[in-house]
Order: sequence, then C-alpha cells, then structure tokens
Amino acid sequence: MKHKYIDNFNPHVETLNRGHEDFLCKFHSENFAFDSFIRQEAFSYVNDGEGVTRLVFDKIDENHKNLIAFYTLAATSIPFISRIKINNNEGKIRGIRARFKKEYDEKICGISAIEIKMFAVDKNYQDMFYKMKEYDMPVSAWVFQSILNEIIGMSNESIGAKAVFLHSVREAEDFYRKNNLVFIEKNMVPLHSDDDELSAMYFRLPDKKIDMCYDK
Amino acid sequence: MKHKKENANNKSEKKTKKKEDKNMAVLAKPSNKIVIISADKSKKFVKDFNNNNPSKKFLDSCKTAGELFKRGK
Repeated sequence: MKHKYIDNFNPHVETLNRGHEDFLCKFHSENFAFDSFIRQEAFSYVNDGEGVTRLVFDKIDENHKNLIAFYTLAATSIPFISRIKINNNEGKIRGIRARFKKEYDEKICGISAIEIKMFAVDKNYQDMFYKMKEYDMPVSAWVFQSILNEIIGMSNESIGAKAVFLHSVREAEDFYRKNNLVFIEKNMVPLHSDDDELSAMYFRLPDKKIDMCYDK
Repeated sequence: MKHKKENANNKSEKKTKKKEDKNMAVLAKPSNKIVIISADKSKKFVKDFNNNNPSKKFLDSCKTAGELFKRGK
C-alpha cells in the first residue's frame, strides 16, 4: 500500500494556554469527545491537577503553523502487591500470627509512572508518513516517540518515574505494540471500569526496574 | 482514588464509540479506574516488567524523534 508523505515536517511542542484558542477550533480529530476535550476541558484539567496538555504544531512558514496533535500528561502510579512471609519468631513477637492468623504481610506498593491521558492527531495528518535519516514512520509515530523521548528526559532530570502508562482505544493497540508498549494483563483487575473497551498498556522507562519482595 | 461523577466527556465518549471504530486519529483516552495488580499476579508482572527494557534501536528512534522536534522550534 502506497503511503502519503509529507515533504516538510517541522514539528514543535507548546504547552496549552489561552493564546491557543484559535488553533483549538480548527483542530479536528473526527471524535467529538476529544475535540470537545481540547476546546473545553483541557484548561480545567490543569486547574484541577488532572493533567497538563501539550500541543504539537507543524510550522509551515514564519507566519503559519498547524495544530496537528495534542497529548495530556499526568503523574500516576500502577499499584501492585508486595508479599513477605512472616517468620515464626517475628510472628510471635509481634503477635500477628496469633492474633490474625496471618502468614504473609502484604502491602500495596506503587510503580511511579507518567500517564498519557489523552493523545489525538488531526485528521489531516492521519495516515501521513515522514522520512528522516533511516526512519520512515507515520506522523503519529514521530509524535508519540517524541513524547516518550520527552518523558525519558523528565524521568532522568526532573521527576522520578519507572514507566509510561495509558489506556488505549482498541483500534490503536497495534500502533502502541509497534511502539514498544506492553499490555497489562486483563486479569490484573481494575477496581472498577467505566469502559471495558480500553486496554491498559505500559512502556518501561529505560533501565528503571522494580525491586520487589514476594514470598510464595 | 477520587471518585468522579460521570461528566459530559464520558457521556460523549459513549455516543461516539461507533465513530471511533472508523478512524485512527484518537489513540488514547482517560479512564476513571485504577489498574491494581493482584497478589498472585504481581510476581509475574514485576518479572515481565524488569525484562521489558526497551531496545537500543527503539530508544535511538525516540531520540531521533526528539531531534526532529528540537529542529522545528
């Protein structure tokens, strides 16, 4: 299948502010919820601590630029359970085993992560490819990998994190798999679910690992 | 975890599910849930996580994307 290519691609990122409102009206992802979010909710997201939105522009010339994508980042945590067997002596001293008949001490721990809460690309840049050096990728992949690169930098310079986390719409799962994201297994049960169609996926930030105690 | 009232955004997400099936422009959206990994799955999850270090090839690709964005500033 022959792809459409963009010859000149000069992207940069700006943090959403009120000066961008004209651009927001012209952004069309062809999804009402996302277009509504960027025009109406993104500003309150910042005020409420829900997420910070960044806009991706393609510079056409000195006086013109197109809003081609946006993404919203927030701090989060992926909880998991750490489990340590209570040894006999400790159990007796603490009285835990006697009182609670507990064999294991389980604690909920968290994997620090940056969540990509929203990510949408304008319809005019859908299925558009760009080639640079030996890399020939869709524009959406260029944008997404720049987001990962940005978060990798953040995790080394400004805020600790072990992973990137997001909820993928079904149609984008392949896209994220090709961009190195991994599914969190479905039987790792969420507390509640508003939308069973979304898949939780993560990307481990390079060289960050989890030290975990888990006794059988 | 703060429970949120269902808002207009969630209602509009439900209306547009069929539309979503037809285009790739929307790639991720928030969900009012916490994923918690159960005790019996935690060990496997952590082992898989620690084995999933991204490859140098992929990281180089991400770096190149970063360079592209710096160039465009």
